[in-house]
Amino acid sequence: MSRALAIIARGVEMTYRDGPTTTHALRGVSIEMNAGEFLLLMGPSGSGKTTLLSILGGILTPTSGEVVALGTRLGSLNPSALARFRLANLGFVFQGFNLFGALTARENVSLALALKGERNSQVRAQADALLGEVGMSDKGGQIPAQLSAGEKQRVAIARALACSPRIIMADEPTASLDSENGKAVTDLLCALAKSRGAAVLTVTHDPRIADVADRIVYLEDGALRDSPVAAH
Amino acid sequence: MVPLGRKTLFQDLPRFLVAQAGVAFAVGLIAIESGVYFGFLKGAVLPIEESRADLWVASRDTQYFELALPMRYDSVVKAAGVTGVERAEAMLLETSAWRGPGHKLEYVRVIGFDPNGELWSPGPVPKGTLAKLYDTDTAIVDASKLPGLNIDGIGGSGKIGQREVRVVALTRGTQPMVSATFVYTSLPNAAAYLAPPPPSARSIAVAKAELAAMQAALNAERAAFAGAPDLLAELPTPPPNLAPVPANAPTAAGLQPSDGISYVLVKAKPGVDLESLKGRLTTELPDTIAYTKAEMVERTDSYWVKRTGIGFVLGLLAIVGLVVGGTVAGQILYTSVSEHIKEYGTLRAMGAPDSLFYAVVAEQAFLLALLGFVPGIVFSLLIAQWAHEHRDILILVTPGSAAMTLAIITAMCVGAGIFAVQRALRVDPAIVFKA
Repeated sequence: MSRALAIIARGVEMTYRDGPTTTHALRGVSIEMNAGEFLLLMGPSGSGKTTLLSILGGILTPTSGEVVALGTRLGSLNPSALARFRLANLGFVFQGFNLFGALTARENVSLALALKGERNSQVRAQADALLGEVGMSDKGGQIPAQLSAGEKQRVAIARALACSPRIIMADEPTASLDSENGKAVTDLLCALAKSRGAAVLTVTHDPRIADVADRIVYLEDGALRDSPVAAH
Repeated sequence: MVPLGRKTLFQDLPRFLVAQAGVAFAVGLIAIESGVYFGFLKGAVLPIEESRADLWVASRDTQYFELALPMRYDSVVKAAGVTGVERAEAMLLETSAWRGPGHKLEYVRVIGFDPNGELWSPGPVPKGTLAKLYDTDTAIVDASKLPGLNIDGIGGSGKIGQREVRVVALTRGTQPMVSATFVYTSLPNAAAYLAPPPPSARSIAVAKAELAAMQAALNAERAAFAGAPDLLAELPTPPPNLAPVPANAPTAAGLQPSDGISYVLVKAKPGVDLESLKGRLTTELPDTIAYTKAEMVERTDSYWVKRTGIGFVLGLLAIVGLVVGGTVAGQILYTSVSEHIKEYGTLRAMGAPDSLFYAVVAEQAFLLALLGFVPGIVFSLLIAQWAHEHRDILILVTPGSAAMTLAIITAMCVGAGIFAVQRALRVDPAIVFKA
C-alpha cells in the first residue's frame, strides 16, 4: 500500500562560502520520506547530515533545489510563514536536549503547548499527560539540571510531541546517552511517533538504533551514497 | 503563559543581584543628579513661590529674581491705587558684602521687605521671630549660611556697608544653592545697609578747596568785566558753598519716595482678571513689567537654565545619568540574551513568533527596571536626607521625580531590551544542532 509523502526533496544543494573557500555541504540530494516512516540518516562526521536535516526541517534555505513538506513548498514561504509551518507541523529533538535551563520539565513542555496556542487552563494538564507518556510524571517540577541525560531527552521528546507534529526531526538523539538510555529513548521516540502517525527523520552515528528504523539512507561528502537501503 | 523571561533572569541569582546593583546604581545616579538639578531650580525660585502675591511688578530690564534694576519707592503707593489692587508691598533686593568677624568677607543679597506685610516672608523661621526686624540694624539669615558669615548663630554680627548688623533669627531651607547668602531684613534697614558710604573728611576737604579755587577764579573774572554789564551777564555765576554732610545719611528711619526698590508685590482683589490688572499696572507705572508668579518663576528658571553654565552643567549631569543608566541596563540585557542564545535559537527553530522574543525581553526589562528602582530610589532618598540635614543642599526626590525616574529607567531598559532582542531575532536557528 502506498503511503502519502511527508517530505520530498529534489536536487538540494548547499554551498557555504568563506572568503575564497567554497564548501559544498550537499550536492544535489534528492530524497523522499513517507508519512509515519522512521527514517535513519547516517554517515560520517562532516558528510552533511545535519545540514540536510536543517533544510528538510525548514530551518536552513538550500542554495538550490526544492523541498516540499506535507504538500507545502518551503521555498515559497517567507520567514514568518516558515516559522508558523514549523510550529504547526514539525517537532525537534536535539543532541544537546536544548531544554530551557530555568524552566521545570513541565514548563518546558508547557512552553511548546502555549506556542501552539493552547489555552492556559489546559496547558498544565496536557503537559503532565505528555510527561506521563515519556515516563516522567514524577519529574515535572524539576529543572533540567536536576535530571539525568536520559531524563532530559525524554522531556525533550515530550516537548517535541507537544504540538502534535506530523514530522519529527531528531539530531543525534542518543549521542549524549549511554547505550541503555539511548536504546530506551529511541524505542520511546519510535513508539510515540508510530502511535501518532508521525514521520521521524533521525540523524545518527549510532548503529545500535538501526533496528528500529523503517529505512536507512547514507550520506557521504554531501551526496547520498546510493539508493536507499532497506533496513529490514 | 510560561514565565520564561522572569525565570531566565532569576536563574543565576548572584549574577542577577550584581545586575540589579548596576541598575540600582543607574537609578540612584538619575534620581540624585536630576534631584540636584530640580533642587537647584526649586531653591532659585523658592522666594517667588513662597510669596502670596499675585503679581510681581519690576523694572522693564529685570532679568530674573536676583537681578532687577531699581524703581522708585513711591511706585508702591501708585500700585496700591490701581483699580483691582487689594494690597501692594515693596521688596528691595541688592548685592552687598558682609564683613564678618575676623574680617571674613562674604557676598550677600540684602532682601528688604515689610515684616508686617502679608505678601512675602522668607519662609519658616524656626529660631527667633520676624518682629525682631523692626529693631535697627538687624537681620535674619539661613542657618546653613552661618559658617560662611563666620558667626555661630543668633546674636552674631557683621558689617554691611556702614552698618553693624546683628542676626536676630534664623530660617531653614530658604537659601538657594548657588546664590550669594540671603540677608533678610526690614525695608528701612535694607536701605541703610545698601546706602553709599558718606564722603571721607579728606575728600570733603579736597572738594572744598577745588570749589574755593573755582569761586575765586570766577569772581576775579567777573571783577575784570565789572564795567561791561552786557558781557558780565554772560559769565557763569560762582557755585554756592557745599551743604553740610549729615553724619549717617540715609538713616534707617524710613524710605523716601525717590528711594529705590526692586519689586512691588501686588495682591489682586478677588475675581480680578490678572491680565487686565497687569496692563493697568504697567500703564500707571511706566518702564515696568508686571509678571504673574508663574511668569516670574519661569523667567528665573529660564535664566539659570539657559544663560548660566550651572543649569547646563547640572542638566548635563542628569543626561549623563541617563546615558550611564541606559548603558548599564542595555549591557545587562544584551549579556543575558547572549548567554541564552541557544535557547532563543531553539525557540526560533520551534517556530516561535517574533512577538514572543519581544515579550520575553520586555518582561526582563520591566523586572530589571522595577527591582533596580526600589533600592536605587531608597538610596537616593537617604542621600537626599543626609545632604539636607548636614549640608543644607536640596536634592529634590519627590513622588513625581521618583515616578519620572521609574519611567525613564523602564524606558531605558525596554529600549535596551529592544536592542538586545535584535540579537535573539538574528540568531541562526541552525545553531541548535550544535551540541
